[in-house]
Amino acid sequence: MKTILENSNKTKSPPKIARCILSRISRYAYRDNISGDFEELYNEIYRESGLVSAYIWCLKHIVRSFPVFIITSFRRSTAMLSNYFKIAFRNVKRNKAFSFINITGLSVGMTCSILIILYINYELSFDKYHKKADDIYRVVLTWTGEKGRGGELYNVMPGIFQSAVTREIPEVLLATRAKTHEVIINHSGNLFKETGIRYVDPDFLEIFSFPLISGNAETALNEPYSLILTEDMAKKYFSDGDPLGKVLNIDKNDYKITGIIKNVPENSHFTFDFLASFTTMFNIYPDPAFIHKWDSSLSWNMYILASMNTIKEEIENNINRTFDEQTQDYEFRLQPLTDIHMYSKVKYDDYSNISDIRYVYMLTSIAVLIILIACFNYISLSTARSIKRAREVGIRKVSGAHRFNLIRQYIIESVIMAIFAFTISIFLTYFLLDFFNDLTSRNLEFKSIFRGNMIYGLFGIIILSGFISGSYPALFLSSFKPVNVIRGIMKSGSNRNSLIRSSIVVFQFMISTILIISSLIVFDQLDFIRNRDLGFKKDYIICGNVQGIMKDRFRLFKEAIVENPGIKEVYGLGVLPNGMHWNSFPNWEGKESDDKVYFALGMVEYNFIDFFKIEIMEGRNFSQEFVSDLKEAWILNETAVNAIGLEEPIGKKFGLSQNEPSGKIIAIIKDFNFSSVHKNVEPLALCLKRRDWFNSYAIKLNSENSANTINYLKEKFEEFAPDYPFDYFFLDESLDSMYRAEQKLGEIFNIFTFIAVFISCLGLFGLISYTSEQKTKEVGIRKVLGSSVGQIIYILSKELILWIIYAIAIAFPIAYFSMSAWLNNFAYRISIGFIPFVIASGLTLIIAILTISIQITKTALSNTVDTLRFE
Amino acid sequence: MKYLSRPEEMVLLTIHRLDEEAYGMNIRNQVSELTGKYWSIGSIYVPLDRLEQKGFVQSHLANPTPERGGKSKRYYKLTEAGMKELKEIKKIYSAFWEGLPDLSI
Repeated sequence: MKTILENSNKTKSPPKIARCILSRISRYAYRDNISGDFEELYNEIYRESGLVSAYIWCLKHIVRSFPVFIITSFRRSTAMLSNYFKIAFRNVKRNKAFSFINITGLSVGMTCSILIILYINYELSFDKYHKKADDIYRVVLTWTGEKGRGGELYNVMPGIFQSAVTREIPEVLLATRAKTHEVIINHSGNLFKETGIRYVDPDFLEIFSFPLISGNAETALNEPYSLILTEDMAKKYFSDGDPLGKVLNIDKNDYKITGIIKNVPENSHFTFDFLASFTTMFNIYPDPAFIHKWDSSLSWNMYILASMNTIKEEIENNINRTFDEQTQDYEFRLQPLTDIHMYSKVKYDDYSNISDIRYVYMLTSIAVLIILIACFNYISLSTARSIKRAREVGIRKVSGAHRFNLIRQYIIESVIMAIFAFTISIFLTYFLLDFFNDLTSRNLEFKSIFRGNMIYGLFGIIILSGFISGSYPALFLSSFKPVNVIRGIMKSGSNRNSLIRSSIVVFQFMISTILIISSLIVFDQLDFIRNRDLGFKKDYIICGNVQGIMKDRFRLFKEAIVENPGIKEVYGLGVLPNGMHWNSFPNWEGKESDDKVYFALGMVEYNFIDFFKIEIMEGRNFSQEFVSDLKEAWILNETAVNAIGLEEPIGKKFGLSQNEPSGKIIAIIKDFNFSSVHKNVEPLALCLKRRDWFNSYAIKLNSENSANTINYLKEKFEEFAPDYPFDYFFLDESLDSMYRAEQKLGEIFNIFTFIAVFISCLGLFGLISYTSEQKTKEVGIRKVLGSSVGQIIYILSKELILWIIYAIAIAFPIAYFSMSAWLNNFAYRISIGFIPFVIASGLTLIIAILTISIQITKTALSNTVDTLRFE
Repeated sequence: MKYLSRPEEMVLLTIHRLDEEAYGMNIRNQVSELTGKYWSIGSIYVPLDRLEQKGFVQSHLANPTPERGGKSKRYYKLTEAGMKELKEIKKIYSAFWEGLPDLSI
């Protein structure tokens, strides 16, 4: 009996959270009774079935009350909303300068972010439209056992891999080769040069999701000389009707059109205009046996479709294990299709559609920094102006506002500001998109802003920038003590406050300085690359490729044009200095059996070295006087000699045959840069061309009248080869285009630097207008007591200038280290001197001083009588 | 005149039946017992609120007790209008049942 009594007297409170929710959702007047009832019921259950059941019951009720809780909370919080809006709009109207600065800064910052989000969204969408995208891989290979060169990837694959891999590896369902060609199309007498033809296996259409508009996907690519056109090409060549079943003449062969395919979307890492059946290769290739060998590879792109839920590494290992015997010198690597655009890393890939994930990171961080700078403007200006709103805070608190309500009010205010800025930035984006597209060489569409995940991104921008800019002012303003502010005492926290403001200015100008320094260094580096001595001559040289009959007639053509005074010298046909893509592991006298050095090979004409003005260090040039030169002579560059470690190399044996090197080294040339300046010069061996495989020529023009000379060449060329168009490019321009990504980076850097500096200055201007307004009285008194205008300018600007000097000091090491990291991407780089730092600090200081000078001079010159009669 | 909903009728009747002892928990227990179903506190307070708005019941606060965590009870009492309403309900229902066979047989 006693225990029951004790038990019944024992009471337990329900969990705190339950009481909280209950008191929030119940009406104020009834709150006590209802929670009383709740506790009574809780205790009843506790007494009857124990604590656990009581807890479970309670939990059940908490969960069930969620909907009501949310609705009630929402209804309560919106009660004051209209008032918040009203006050917010009044504030925007009353403080025009302040609002202008904030909204301009924020909308410019947001425009940058929207553009960048659009860009990133597009970049990440590459190749994702394929239905089986997750299971498609590109196979590339890497040479093993190389000396001093690890892990470079090449997309040159042995042709036989395609059939072998599907036969031997169970996880690989389908495979296709894709070989790019440059062809001449003869369409009813008119000649067109086309670069977008790909020879592919029939599986191609099944692996990738390129929908056929007409034709049968199963059979379209089975027969030799079958051709599929894209819509655009169908329009170009057969505007007058259905091309299906018709014939197109490509490189003198008739191809039958078996299908029309949709245009390749722009967000693809490779594109094409024509697909031709791979079986055609066996007919048109000079040496078809090449395709069936493991140790010779032409440039095939190879794609495989793996079965679902397989792991990339497992397939890779399986492939390498299975083909270990056939592939002595190299191993295969798989690249997921959707990674190719961002992480290709393949040497000699088709760079026009290859980007780098680092640009995405870089742009993202710049966008975040710019938005931060804009948000910080808001923070520093609102806290600076906080005294003006202190009364409002006091009154609100006296009338019963909790701190929480005030925080919410100020955050809502900044979010309203953010929404307003966002609306403007949408318009800005619309007008700036074309410009941005030029800058990034992308084709982004305005309407994709409102599609898919973009909406979340945009929403995120608004909320985030609203919250960041509202956070500190809200916390600060809401901390005012009503008694003090209403009595006009405003001391608490003002020190902390000015610390916040000064750190904001320091941060903003630090970022600006870093960006200025960086863009100066980027500019210097680009300039350095462009004007660097590559080791060969590139000015006034036009180059090009010839096909078909012109290959045979080039010698005659050469003899015919050499007479023209506009032409200095002709080189051809052979490899050009930037075209040494042929690679091998050569053999030399005294080579250790496991020594492997990867060489670039160049098959050139006799006059190569003279033509491109390459310096011979030692030995003699190729010469027609030595008959044996054609078969035996090798010329190596310095790097090659160092790499194989030959002393007194002239006369030593050298060759490609692994058993016994048949040639000999006749000269050493100075290194010249035959690939990108990102890379160091590699070992290179030159020999005279032995077969007519090469189709590149170069013509050195007289600097005067070069346009006329080119016209003359065009006429002559067409006279010799009426079936082929005259196609040429300037060597220096073509070399420049290798650095397009860097040039783009340079431009982007300049623009964003400008924007960051602009927004920072806006904030500084706002701040200085505020502080000088605060100090009008002080200035008046000082002037009365005899200060000169100069002294007053000094007093007013001293602090700000000091902040900016701090900012510059902090910016130096950051800029130095990040730019060193960037420059390390280049094999040939400038060293970072002090000049960019001096210019950048000077520039930052001048801009800052100009920004504040107007306002400060105004204050300093103001009439004492007016300022002191202020009230 | 507007009719009451079933829960309102039940709560009204229960308050009448409990007389002096009618407060939230008791009403709930009684209604649950009579209907044989689970009634949450909320489902009692909604009809109670409405009845009070319509002027059929009155409430007053009483002393707090320890098992309620120190919170006071709110007792409910029928007003005259409430009493009249109850009579009216009974009259209407009897009129409807008049002459119908007893369903329990």
